[in-house]
Amino acid sequence: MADRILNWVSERIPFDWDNLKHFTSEPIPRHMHKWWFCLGGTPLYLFMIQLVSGIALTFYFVPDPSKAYESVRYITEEVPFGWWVRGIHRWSGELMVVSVILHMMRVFFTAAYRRPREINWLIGMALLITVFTFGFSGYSLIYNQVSYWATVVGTNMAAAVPFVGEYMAGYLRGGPVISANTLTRMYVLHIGVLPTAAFGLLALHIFLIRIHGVSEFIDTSHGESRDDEDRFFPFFPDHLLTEIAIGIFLIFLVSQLAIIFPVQIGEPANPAVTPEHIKPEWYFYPVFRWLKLFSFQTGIVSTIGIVMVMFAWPWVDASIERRFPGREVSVFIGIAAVVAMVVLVLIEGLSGH
Amino acid sequence: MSASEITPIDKVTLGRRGAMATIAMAAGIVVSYGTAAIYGLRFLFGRQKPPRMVQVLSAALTEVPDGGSRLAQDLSGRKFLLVRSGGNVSAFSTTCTHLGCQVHWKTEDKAFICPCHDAVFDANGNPVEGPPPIPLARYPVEVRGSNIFVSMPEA
Ligand code: HEM
Ligand code: FES
Repeated sequence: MADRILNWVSERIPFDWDNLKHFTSEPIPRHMHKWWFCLGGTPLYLFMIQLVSGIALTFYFVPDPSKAYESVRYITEEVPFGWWVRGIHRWSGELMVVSVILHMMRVFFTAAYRRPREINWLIGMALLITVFTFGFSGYSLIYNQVSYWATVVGTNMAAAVPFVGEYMAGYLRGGPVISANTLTRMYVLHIGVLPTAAFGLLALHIFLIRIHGVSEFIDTSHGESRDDEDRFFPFFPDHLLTEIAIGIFLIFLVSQLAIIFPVQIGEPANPAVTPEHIKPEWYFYPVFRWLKLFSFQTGIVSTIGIVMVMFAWPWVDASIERRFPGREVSVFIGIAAVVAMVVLVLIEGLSGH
Repeated sequence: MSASEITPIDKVTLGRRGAMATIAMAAGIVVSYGTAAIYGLRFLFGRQKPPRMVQVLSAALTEVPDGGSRLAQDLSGRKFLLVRSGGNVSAFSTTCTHLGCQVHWKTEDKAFICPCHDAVFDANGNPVEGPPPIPLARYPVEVRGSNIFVSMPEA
């Protein structure tokens, strides 16, 4: 019976299933047994949670300035388990940012972006920006005071970019000022353009990981060597089981967070009054604080410069390596950058305004 | 020169024709898809027409003390500042020139405070602290009889 079904299937889908076996038995270096090395799987899992919970939210959310806030309130207060779905979407989004940053740090501090993996670092950076744009556009949908003014400031920041700024802001707003067009744009970005982009980038990211293999670390100080028999374990089923276990933990964690820290709705947006305390999401604090420290153009131009250096990092690192061979200057730059980010987040988070 | 390096004459003409055809085809693709791309981008850019200016009756001249100022608002609740010296009245927008938040008037300090990045403007709309690069925008004012009319973008 099983054979007959198998035959039926392989006749309709004439594919050599051994290929799949080959593809899924990718050898994984043994250090990937440690969870902090396989952090890349966490955002992938959270992305699936976002897809499901986000699609659920679209059933009730109305992208119209006069109805958006009310529809979010309705989801939160009246739809059965609406608070839970919304809470999962929110918390999984927050954890997405955290896990992408942690994943990036592990790639950075293990220098896994070095030749020949530079392209995957570029794709990773594009994914990071996609995740931030997800956060920004999603936040603007709620249409409460804080989210409305974060959108005003964010789109005007785009306008301040030299040369192309006015165009970027025009495209983001769909008009000379924030209007109903802006909300539609944020919505379409959030539920259409960005998920599609993220999907494509993730596919490329994973394809490149698969054909390069995960970079290997041999810890000779603990008696490991290149000749060890157990250097690798197969992706299927070993690693997949690890990831499933992490996934179960994640859905539990996100659900608990949604219950313990329920999402708020706040005051409805009022374009005539900026509230006394406006704050973006915590992951924009570094940029937010940075802009307060410098004059306008300096702030914007230096922010763009930093992002460009981050993109170019594999090449910047290679040239530093050539100049100071073996000194691992990058590690110190990385530590300095992480400390700077944490300090900026803390200053902004702890200050009243 | 060996025989294999000599290109038969028919290949040359075909090649030249082929090259022309390829160029023409490529140009056609660039022009047609390029046009479509430009139209598409213009569609997405939308209509960037600045909002219409409307005249708002803001206050009676006597309501603004000479040498002082008064916060006024239109019917949709948008605030703006009237500053008077003699018969001369100016009106300032309360939209921060940094990133577009609404500044508010702080009477004790006689200054505008922008909550977004801690900026301060003085009573004449000039930036004194924080990131804003230029003074608050001025709206055209017209004093007709004893009433002050201010032209501002439609809300
Ligand atoms: C991939 C498919 C996704 C879909 C279909 C989707 C859909 C939605 C919808 C309809 C809303 C509005 C409802 C609400 O405000 O609660 C929303 C809000 C939001 N989304 Fe997404 N989303 C997706 C992915 C993401 C991702 C990857 C992030 C990660 C940063 C994210 C972050 C947010 C945030 C921060 C909000 C506001 C949350 C709140 O307080 O309610 N979304 N999303
Ligand atoms: S928007 Fe007013 S100081 Fe930045």
